[in-house]
Amino acid sequence: MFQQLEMKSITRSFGDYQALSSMNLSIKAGEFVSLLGPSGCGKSTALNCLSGLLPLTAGEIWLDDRRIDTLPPERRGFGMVFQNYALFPHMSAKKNIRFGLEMRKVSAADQSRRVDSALSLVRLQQHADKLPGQLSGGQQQRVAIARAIVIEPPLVLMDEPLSNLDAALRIEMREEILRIHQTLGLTTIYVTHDQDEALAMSDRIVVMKEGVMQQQGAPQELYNRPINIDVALFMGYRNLLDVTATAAPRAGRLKVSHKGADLDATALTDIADGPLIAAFKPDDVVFSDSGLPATVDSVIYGGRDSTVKLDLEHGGQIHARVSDAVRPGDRVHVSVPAEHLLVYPRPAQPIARP
Amino acid sequence: MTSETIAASTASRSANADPSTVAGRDLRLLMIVPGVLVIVGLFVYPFIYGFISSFNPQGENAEWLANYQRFFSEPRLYETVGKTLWLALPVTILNVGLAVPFAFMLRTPSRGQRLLSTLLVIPMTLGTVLVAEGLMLYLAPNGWLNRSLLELGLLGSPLRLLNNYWGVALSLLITGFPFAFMMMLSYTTGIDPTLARAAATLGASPMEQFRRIYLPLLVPGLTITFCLTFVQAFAVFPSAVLLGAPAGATRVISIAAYEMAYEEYNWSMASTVAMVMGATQLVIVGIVLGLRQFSYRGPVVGGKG
Ligand SMILES: Nc1ncnc2c1ncn2[C@@H]1O[C@H](COP(=O)(O)OP(=O)(O)OP(=O)(O)O)[C@@H](O)[C@H]1O
Ligand SMILES: [Mg+2]
Repeated sequence: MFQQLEMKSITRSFGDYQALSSMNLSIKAGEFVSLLGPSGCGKSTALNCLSGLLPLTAGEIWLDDRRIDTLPPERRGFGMVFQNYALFPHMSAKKNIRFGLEMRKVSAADQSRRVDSALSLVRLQQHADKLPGQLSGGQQQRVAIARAIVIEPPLVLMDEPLSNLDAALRIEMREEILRIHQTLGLTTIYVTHDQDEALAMSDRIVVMKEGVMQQQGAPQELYNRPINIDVALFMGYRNLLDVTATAAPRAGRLKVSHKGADLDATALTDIADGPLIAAFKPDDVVFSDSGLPATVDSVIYGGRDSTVKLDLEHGGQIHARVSDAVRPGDRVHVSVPAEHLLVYPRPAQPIARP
Repeated sequence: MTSETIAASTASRSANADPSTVAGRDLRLLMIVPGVLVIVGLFVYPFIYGFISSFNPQGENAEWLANYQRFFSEPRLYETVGKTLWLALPVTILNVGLAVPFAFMLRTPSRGQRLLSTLLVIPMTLGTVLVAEGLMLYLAPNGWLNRSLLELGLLGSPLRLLNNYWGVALSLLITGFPFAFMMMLSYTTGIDPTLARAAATLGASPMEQFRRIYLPLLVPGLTITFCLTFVQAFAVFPSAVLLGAPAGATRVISIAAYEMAYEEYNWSMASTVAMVMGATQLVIVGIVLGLRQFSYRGPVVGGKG
């Protein structure tokens, strides 16, 4: 086992294109870390670099005091669950799981014992002798997990293992993966483009965009304090308002103006002068006596609370999730607590929601 | 056709959602008719004709099996089967055996793969006669090969590579290998490359990835390639005449058939030789395909698409 995995400015280019630029990340034993980002941001590239399937263009990977980025995949011994499972189609579930043990020249008795316990861990004992083609998607996925963990790897890498399953099975398998992670005390790096999945499973989330790591931290940290507008938009739905700073902006509390209306807001980093954008979650909108005047456009009743679409009198439309009973046409005043109204420099190009 | 029946047939057509069916009949089956006609005309008819003709020997009151009795009693006829097999089987095994590792090494698209594929397609397109003529110059006692080897001091006296077994075997290798390689390349690239990567992360060296993953998945393709390469080699004619010893070691079965047809003008006997030839090929192909039953024959991708 190991204490710490350290990626030091790892970079991978394809021709001129940097699929992964200078990523620094250190992972402690036992952690469950998610790599989160939109399609094409370099998540699989990062995993393949770690497992040794893709050579690095630059940078180093250290496992404690051992440099491993120069080793071929078969010498690194990380377990990997592939995006498409990559089960060996000519071997039964059992033989798939046994494969890694055979390669490691584990004794035959140990092989059988460990395969059996892996099969029961993923609850597949009855299906041990079926070929992958005879298993359902969820069962194949569990074989892939069992095959990766039966070799007791120091690190398990999972590349969007749930992306092709239906919603119900996805939730179930989430819990299954977490259970296995905890039961065996594994260290797991988990790639996903689903922020709910990342929030629900991770000790730590790493958000990436276009090959560059944007932010890393605990799920709450990323959800409540996204460091830039891209992370903010990726971590759940946020309303956006164009604003300008009324004083020289810097990190911390500041005053901004939205088309003449003054608002108290928070900047998480030092920001330069210029056009800003304010982002806030629908849950953080409150109806109050002061604040921006608005008219209720539509109400979607959702049990404990309702999602309300509001036309701001100063211009623009926002969504609010509130428990107040309002009806279309009502006039209200809305405000957002300063600590939840986050401002960022406004990007030059129009903002695309993920 | 009257206007009424046209109207009726349009009605039944539009009543049916699937345009390929009319009144419940599946018209798609009709599409195979031209193909079936071609096969019957070009293949089945001559085969049956030859089959019947081989049992109708020429000459007065000859017995119906006389041709076959003659074939299996005259050494210069029945020995052709063994001689042809002795050429075709080793060469086919070598061709397929070499094609597999080459295909494995060149399975990822690269400049090397394109270059080699192009180089290998050339002998296929040149045809056997041109290759044989080239080899006659190249392998001759004073040809390039012998002269180079002599110059380098690797040989004391020139190798005899023409007008014997080796000349024909070499030409079959040159014309058969590209074919086997191209077929194996397409089978190999059809195998999901993440399977080998998965094996690598589980500790398999490149050799083990080949042996445990690629080879078992290639068996079906291997058997087909073997059969097709074998059938090609078994029908060897031009190079056996030009490069071999058509009266001796490389007196292959097609030479016997040629002699019967165009030297003895015994059409019925030529058919008999062809029938023996076909039967021999059928036996070998049958054995190889029979062995395939023992291997895995499913999809070659690893799980969900
Ligand atoms: N072999 C390759 N050659 C050239 N470009 C590549 C190659 N592999 C990946 N890329 C590029 O690198 C970028 C990152 O790819 P990667 O597969 O890491 O994305 P990803 O984050 O895993 O996306 P997804 O969520 O869709 O799986 C993409 O823009 C892709 O086009
Ligand atoms: Mg990916």
